[in-house]
Amino acid sequence: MNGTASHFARWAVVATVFAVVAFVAFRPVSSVENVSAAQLGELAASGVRVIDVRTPAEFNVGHIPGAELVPVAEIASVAAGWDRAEPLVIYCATGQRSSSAVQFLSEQGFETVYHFNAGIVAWTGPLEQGTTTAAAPERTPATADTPVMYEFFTDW
Amino acid sequence: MVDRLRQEYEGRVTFELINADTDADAEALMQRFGVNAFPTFVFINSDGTVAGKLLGAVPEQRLREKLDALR
Repeated sequence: MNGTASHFARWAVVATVFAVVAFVAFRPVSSVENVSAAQLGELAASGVRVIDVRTPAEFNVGHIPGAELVPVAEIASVAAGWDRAEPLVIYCATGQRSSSAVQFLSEQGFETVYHFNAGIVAWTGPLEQGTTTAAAPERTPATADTPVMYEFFTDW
Repeated sequence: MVDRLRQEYEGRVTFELINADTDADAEALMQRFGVNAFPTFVFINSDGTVAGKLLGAVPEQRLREKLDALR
């Protein structure tokens, strides 16, 4: 009786180890790779989805041709319906917001995530403008006779 | 830092703080000045010409140099 129990326990351990090894070996592994502007261009040309996680205002001013707008605040809800096996390229302005988006997608099991970590400020290719038509910009400063310093910022 | 500079340069330079997420004029102004990243500082002379643009976390001294050079 004692020998049978011991034999059973031994097989239980072997089966458990096998199951763990199989899980580790065959689960989808998320791969994150930083890419340059040139690599991004090649990936986009080959049909890889490019996701811009900046704000709509930033996107409309200029974005990488073919990019889709998904502001970083919406990435969790929008990406929930995406195919996790489909490769993605993520970028923002300077790499800060895209870092959090890339981390989130990686944690969610997206298998291949390319990160244009230098951001659109490092993009030397052509830009595409959004479809929003802005009114003729002519904001009058509070004091017309003095020089003006504009600071453009976001809540992010 | 910007608040401090605004007080210091009051009467000499007008400070316009544009929140790209909430300001109704933001997009138009960004297109006008070619702003596509944040923060960006744009310096305009009193005759309307663009005196310069600084991007990112700019040291106070760089801002002061730009502000002092405005005419």
